[in-house]
Amino acid sequence: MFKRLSTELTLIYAALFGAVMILIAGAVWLAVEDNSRQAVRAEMSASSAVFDRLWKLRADQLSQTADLLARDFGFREAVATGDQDTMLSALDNIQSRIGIDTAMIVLPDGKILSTGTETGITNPALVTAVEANPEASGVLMLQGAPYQAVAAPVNAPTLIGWVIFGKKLGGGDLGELESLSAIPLTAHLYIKEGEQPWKSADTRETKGITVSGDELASRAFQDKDALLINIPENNSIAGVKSLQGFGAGVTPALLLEYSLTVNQASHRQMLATILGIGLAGLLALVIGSWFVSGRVTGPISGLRAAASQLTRGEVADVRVVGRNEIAELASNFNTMSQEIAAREKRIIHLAEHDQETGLPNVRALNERLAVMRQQNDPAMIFGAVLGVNRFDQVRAAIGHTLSARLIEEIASRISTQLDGVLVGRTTTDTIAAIFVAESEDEAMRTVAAVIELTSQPVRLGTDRIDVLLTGGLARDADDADTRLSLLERAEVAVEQARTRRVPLAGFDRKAYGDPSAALSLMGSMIQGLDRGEFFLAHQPKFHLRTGTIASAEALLRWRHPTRNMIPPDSFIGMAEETGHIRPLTDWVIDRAIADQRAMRAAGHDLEISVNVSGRLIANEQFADRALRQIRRADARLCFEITETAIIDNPKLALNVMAELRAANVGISIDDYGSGLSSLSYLRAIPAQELKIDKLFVQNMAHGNSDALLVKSTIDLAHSLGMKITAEGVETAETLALLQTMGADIAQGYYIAKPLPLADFQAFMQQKANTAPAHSRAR
Amino acid sequence: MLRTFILLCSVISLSAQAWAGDLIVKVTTPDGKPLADAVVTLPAGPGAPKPSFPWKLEVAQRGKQFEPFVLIAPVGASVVFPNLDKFRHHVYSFSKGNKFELELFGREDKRSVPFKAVGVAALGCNIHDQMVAFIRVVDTPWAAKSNEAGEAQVTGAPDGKTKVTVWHPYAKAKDQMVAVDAVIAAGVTKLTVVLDVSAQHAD
Repeated sequence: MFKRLSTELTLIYAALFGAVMILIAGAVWLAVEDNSRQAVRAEMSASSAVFDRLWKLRADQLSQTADLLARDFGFREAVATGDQDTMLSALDNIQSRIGIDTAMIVLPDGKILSTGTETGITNPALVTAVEANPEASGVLMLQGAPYQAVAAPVNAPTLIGWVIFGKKLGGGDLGELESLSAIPLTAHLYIKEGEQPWKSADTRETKGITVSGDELASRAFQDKDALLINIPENNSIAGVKSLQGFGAGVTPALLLEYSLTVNQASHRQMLATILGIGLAGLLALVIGSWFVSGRVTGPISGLRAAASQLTRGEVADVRVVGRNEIAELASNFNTMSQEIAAREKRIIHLAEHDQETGLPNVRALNERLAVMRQQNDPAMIFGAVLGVNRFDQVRAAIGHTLSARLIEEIASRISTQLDGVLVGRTTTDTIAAIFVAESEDEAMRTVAAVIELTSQPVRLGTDRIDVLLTGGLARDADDADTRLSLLERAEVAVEQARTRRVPLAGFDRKAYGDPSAALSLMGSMIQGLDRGEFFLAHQPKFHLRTGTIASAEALLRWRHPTRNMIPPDSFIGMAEETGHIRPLTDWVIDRAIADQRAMRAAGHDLEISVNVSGRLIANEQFADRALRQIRRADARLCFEITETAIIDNPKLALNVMAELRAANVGISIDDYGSGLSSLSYLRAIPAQELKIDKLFVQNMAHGNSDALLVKSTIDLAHSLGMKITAEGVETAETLALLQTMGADIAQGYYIAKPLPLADFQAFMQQKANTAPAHSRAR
Repeated sequence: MLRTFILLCSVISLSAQAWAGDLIVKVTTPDGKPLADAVVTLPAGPGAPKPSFPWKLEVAQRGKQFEPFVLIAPVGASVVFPNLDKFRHHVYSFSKGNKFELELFGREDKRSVPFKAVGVAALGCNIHDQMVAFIRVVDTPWAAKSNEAGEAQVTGAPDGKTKVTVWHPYAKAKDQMVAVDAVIAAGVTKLTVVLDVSAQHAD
């Protein structure tokens, strides 16, 4: 509602105070009103009592005098004997003596004998009144004027008349009453005769009440033991005192009217004082509460500002003033702010550092990369990953703590080499660095130098651990479309280097291929086997000595329904990794046997070579199944394997091979010369054939060294009792050269490219028809 | 003794009239209570004997009271006012024709006053206001005062039509009396008269 808390507080306080003041003023007003009314009532009661006394005193006076007269023997005699002169003189005498306004004798027949104007008038009502009460006393109306009258019976000895004395009312008597009162009041006399309306019997002027008597009577209300009438017209209140009438039919009432004006004037003064005090208090309160709430809300505003600062991630510090709750809150807030900052720092540190070693992690490195990208050409930014070889074994040997220290040590060495370069741990056994170099060559040289200088034994306590690192390098600007980050590419490069058994390699996009496509490839490969998308292409092998096609190499072909021909390189490696190589190879063997049968049927009895992965050659289940199939079909197959195939489990691999040999299955060493050509394995493997890698064969014509290598390999094979097959024969010159070198078999596009079965049959048919084949081959 | 006297009177009246009877008037208040001290009179016709009553013509003052309260006296007769109290009484009457004043000093002061006018003489004491008595002055021999049972017996009244007047000092009637027509027969004639009295006499 209010923008400022202090405004709100001030207004609320002011409103509350105002309300309280109004209540107080109201209460005071009511109390004063009540008080004055009570005072009036009390005064009226007192005045009333005074009036009672006055009234009674006068009545008694009159009564005594009247009684005295009524008992006077002479007077009685005068009355009894109807001696009017005597009676009148007696009345006259009394009247002048005690100062009454009227004195009369009423005879039983109603005749009046009076000193005044009443004489001769018959007043039956008067007789009724005195007959009812011979000693009647009260207000008597005589010719329209009120009198306080008393009666006294005249007995002689029986009742012969009444003496009535009267004193006028509504004049000086009321004035006397007014003057006797402690409070200023005005007395009024009202009389009701029979059914007539109430009438004022006040004979004085300027004392009037403008309201009619009946209206006043209707306003009368009982207030405790007093009967009151409010007269707003006169701003007054009146107490009613009923008087006794002289006989029935006359009802007199005395009104003691008290003006409230005087009282109210003093009340107004009091209220004005209260109002003044209230206003002063209100002003003081507004100023005070504004000041106090300012003191409260000032620090709160500070806190609010600091809180939004904190929200924005800034360190907020609130000034602490005083020692109250808000100061405490501010102090707590500061502590909280500082702790949040510290915690944030720790969280950031945790997020950007490896827990084991405290080295920066991938995230930290990537952040550094982002910074470097702003300052450098991406073509000059390189990421290097150095993998600790055999780390799993090392860790198994020395434990996690020491191996972490090992990584730390290595990282520290690398840091020493690469000054100012951030070195971090990316995986358990890899350390990475991002740096700037002029060219890829320079980067390679740098990393190679680091590897060399770092690969020194590390001493951890009593242990001395050899450190062997394999490096991977990637350039930030290259291969961004692989979906791999710079460091990920460098890590892949480490793996690639390890595969290639080199200490350092740059990221090879080609070798990396498209792993994500490969993942889905295996599923469709299995499907493809069932759907007949695979077939074998047979490449004829030309026997140089006989000049015939005596054997062929069966090569796997996949005609994908949407991707057309998929080269074996793109799925064989994946199949080896995922284990799908087994069903694939099973299928190849079965197909080769079937194709051979078809060839035999066509009159061509050829040995068919199939490529068997090194991972399968040590697999006994695979070998058992293959042998079973071969025996059943009496097939003539040769398994082409690479010499690395036996590295993982040489003993088992050699046993399997021996078994194959026993079953008359040929063994051929494939791609000799491209990998690690080990003479010991060459000797151990019971092969009959050695296939020279086509790289050597194709380059033979261009350089002597390759020709020499081929020649010496041919000699080596022959000396080990193996036939030699040269792959990649693409020209007649090569074929001629191989012939002179003593090679046994040639294979290549010059002879024939791999052919589907039907084409192969046709080729063989054509070969049989035309001889000699080699001189005309194209 | 009294009975013999009454009997004697009857004989006298019988001798005077061809016919005579007794009249018993029962006087009651409107609510049926017997009213004592009412005076029943029959007019004295021509040839009526001079009134003479068997009771003492005396109004004594005893214990600040007159005794009796009502006395029937023949006109012209003197009534004696013996003061039986130890203190003074000032007996007076302002009644028309019978106005008198007697200052009775002390005990045994016996004085008489003649009552010359037929009517009622209200007696009072100027010293003791509460003392009130009435003397009914009559000119007829046939008058009687009601007793506590409210009965007044007039003996030897002439038979025939007559007017019976009943008076009581506090009767609410003109001159405190009512008159009723009656026929007196031989023997006993009974009559009931209702008379309202003012409250003054209630006690």
